[in-house]
Amino acid sequence: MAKKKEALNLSFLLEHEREMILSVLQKDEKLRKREEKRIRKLKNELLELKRGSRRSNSEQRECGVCLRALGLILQRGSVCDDCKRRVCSFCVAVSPNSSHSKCTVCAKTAELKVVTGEWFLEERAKRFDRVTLPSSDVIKQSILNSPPESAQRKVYQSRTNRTGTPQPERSPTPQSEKSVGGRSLGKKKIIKSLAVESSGRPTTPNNMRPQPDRLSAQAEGRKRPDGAESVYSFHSSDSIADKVCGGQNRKDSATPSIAVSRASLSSDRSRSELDLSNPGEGFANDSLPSRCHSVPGLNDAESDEDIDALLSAHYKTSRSVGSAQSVSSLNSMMSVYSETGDYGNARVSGEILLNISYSYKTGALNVLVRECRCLATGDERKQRTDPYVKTYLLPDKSRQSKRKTSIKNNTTNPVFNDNLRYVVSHSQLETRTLQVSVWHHDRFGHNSFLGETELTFDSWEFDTQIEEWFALQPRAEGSVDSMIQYKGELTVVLKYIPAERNLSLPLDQIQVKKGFLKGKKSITLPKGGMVELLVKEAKNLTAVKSGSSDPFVKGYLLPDDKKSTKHKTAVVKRSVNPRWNHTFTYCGLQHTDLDSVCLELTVWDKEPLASNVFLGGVRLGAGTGLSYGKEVDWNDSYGEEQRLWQRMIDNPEVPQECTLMLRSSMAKRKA
Amino acid sequence: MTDGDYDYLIKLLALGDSGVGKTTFLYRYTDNKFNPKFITTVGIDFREKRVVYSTNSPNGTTGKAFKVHLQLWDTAGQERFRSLTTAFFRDAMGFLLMFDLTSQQSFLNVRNWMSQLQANAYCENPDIVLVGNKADLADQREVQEKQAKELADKYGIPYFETSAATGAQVDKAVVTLLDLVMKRMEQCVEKPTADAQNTDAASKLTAAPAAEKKCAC
Ligand SMILES: Nc1nc2c(ncn2[C@@H]2O[C@H](COP(=O)(O)OP(=O)(O)OP(=O)(O)O)[C@@H](O)[C@H]2O)c(=O)[nH]1
Ligand SMILES: [Mg+2]
Ligand SMILES: [Zn+2]
Ligand SMILES: [Zn+2]
Repeated sequence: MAKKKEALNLSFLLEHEREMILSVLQKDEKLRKREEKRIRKLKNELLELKRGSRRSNSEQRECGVCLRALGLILQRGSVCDDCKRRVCSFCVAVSPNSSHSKCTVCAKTAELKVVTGEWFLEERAKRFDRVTLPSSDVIKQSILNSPPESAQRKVYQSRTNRTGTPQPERSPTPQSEKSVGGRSLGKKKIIKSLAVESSGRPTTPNNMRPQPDRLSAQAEGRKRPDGAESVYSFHSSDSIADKVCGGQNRKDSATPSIAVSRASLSSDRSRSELDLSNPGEGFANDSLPSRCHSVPGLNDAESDEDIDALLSAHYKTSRSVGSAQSVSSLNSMMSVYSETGDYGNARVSGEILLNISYSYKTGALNVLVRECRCLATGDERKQRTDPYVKTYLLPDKSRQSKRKTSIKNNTTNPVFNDNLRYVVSHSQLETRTLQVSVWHHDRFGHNSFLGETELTFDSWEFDTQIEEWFALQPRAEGSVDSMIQYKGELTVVLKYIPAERNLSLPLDQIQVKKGFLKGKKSITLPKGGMVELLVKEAKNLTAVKSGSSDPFVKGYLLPDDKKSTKHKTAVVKRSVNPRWNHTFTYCGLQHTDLDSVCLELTVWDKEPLASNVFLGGVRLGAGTGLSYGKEVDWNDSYGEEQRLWQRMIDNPEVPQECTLMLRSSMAKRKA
Repeated sequence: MTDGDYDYLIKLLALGDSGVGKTTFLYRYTDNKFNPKFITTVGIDFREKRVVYSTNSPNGTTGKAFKVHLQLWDTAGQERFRSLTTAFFRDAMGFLLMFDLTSQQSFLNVRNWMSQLQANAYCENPDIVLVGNKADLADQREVQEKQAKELADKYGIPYFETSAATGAQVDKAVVTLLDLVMKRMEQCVEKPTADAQNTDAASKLTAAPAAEKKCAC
């Protein structure tokens, strides 16, 4: 695992230090997101400018920028120093302290280079060929990669640390340089220290490796409480990369070079809606037991009514019947859609007019979708655009949060005047983001993305009304990334107690028992072994409302044919680092069952009046993709999830503790 | 502070031995407050501040004003975090290299920090301002202004004696660094691409790194 060695080893960090640093990095990520958004907006403006303009041409008779006719003698325009196009007097940028003249497009391009910080990245690229990840991300990965010190050592360390650190440390500092000790800053020395870097410093090589997508990075980052090196399985990472990212490199968030982002824009656009479909959707409805999570695939189908509409026939039967057959038919159809991903390659253009108001009286946010103009063509082949608008009140990406307008026929300037309404308290609204996306509806399910905009409410005066045109933007990274976001960690202890140990025990006790380690003797089934799962705690969960959430964990043992395996922990109020210490017990499991079942744990924020919000989940199982010989998509555990399960099987009676990265989506990976 | 309504995001980074006052200095700069307590920084942190930067046109009149969002990275001086903190060097556009005027040792270490920077920053000669902090503790001073000035001159970088306690020269030091970064940025773009390559090659061959202040693009 050369890959491992290259990451920074930060295992010396103490637990609380890791947390502090991670929270700083999270803060930085937020800042970078905002910056990206700003840059995207600027670039869109440039694209807009460029869109109309022409290539240079010796016979050019019109302005290269605005296409206005140029005269032969009068109003001949002038030639741009950069692109050599002839442009009219309106399209010459006036630059006060520069002698040469530029057209507005070239001026804007130059300006962008400055305001986007691209100049810096270009400079740096001369030095570090392929630094693409921001340091923050490298460190985050490294931290998540480095197992913390084992508990005992930690106690010892933090004790020594307490007495040791607060004094300013005045030791001769940058240690690695001691030997170099140059007094001048001549070239020699620089070369020397560079050499040190290339051989000894881990960061650069770390970034030179092929871009891992974030999911694999996360999976790699699963730390093992036993302090052993966590070895990530490349196999699964590759398959995720293919599934989630369509094999494309993810866009680097801090490298807003125009070329790069254009390329990735087009790749974003090439996704079908299905590929972008919101993970976790269809999971948020905790109150509908009929949408049982044990019928996988259905959730996915339900998750997006754009597919629903198409599949309505299948959808209905599968929902009520839930047979394996309908599941597989859904799956095969869904894979058809994912393959058509490059179909919906509409480019993003145009604007949307929204009227947004909040009524204190009714506690409702009213999003009046008025109209769009200059939309891109949805279906290039048919030259047809049947647009509709969809909204989510993020971070809730569940069905409950989705609103849709009607579909307009064949127009790139649709007028909707549809009101989309959310009942939400204004204090909660402040923490939410309204995501408005425009889609081309295709009768055959090739819905294509036409652009989106996101609005936050934190600085909005709620008693004012907004009526504004918003530029449509390419898919925000967030939406794609949300499949592979950091959602926090869940710590569980798993134990398998084989049947033979329990032969002498009472026959009739099947139910859940709280209190993990004691009293196990009284709670087993004679016919099989049992799996005991202690849901210990979670860390860094997403805060859904003003800085915190009310989390609880729900567990299913799949396949859940009898719908009897649902367990829930208590709700921990107002915490993103909840401790539940709640044990779920599953009985009647033979050794041979263990490859065919899967423990699905999902973390939810409890909402008293609305639907619960999905915070993340894991699937613990063998990850075989099979259940009793049948192909199933939920048996998709990978990485640490899978290893934990294996450890449990290999070490009967021995509790296996593990901290797992929460998946940000329970969408089936092998659908 | 949370909106994206600014023209430039500029990332600066403070480095130097533990206890020289990096955190306190930045706190003074962003919040105009002084914290006498020493809470050593764990790994890395940052503060933000929005400022208005105005350019001067050649004829001396004030030019356009820009909104600049400053991200000020604060690194831990402690040795044990070294691998982590140096990893952040390459994301910063300018550096506040700090030492403690009351500690000769922290001054001696400036050279080491300097070479760390040259090895890890985005280019070999990034914009740096040398800062001697705790100027208010005159009776405990161990580093003379002349000494520090000489060193700064050798590197070809500005030098300021600041006090996070009184606030003296704190703004000045940051603004000077910001100015350097903004100037470099302008040079990077102003220069037409064709002859840029030539100057680049030429300067690499001749100029001493300290003097080579022009942008290489
Ligand atoms: N009198 C005086 N004290 C200062 C000044 N600047 C910092 N201090 C004090 O020096 C101590 C150390 O300051 P910090 O800012 O925490 O040091 P640091 O450089 O961030 O240290 P690390 O985080 O460990 O790298 C604190 O007690 C500060 O109050 C100053 O200008 N004058
Ligand atoms: Mg500090
Ligand atoms: Zn024109
Ligand atoms: Zn031009």
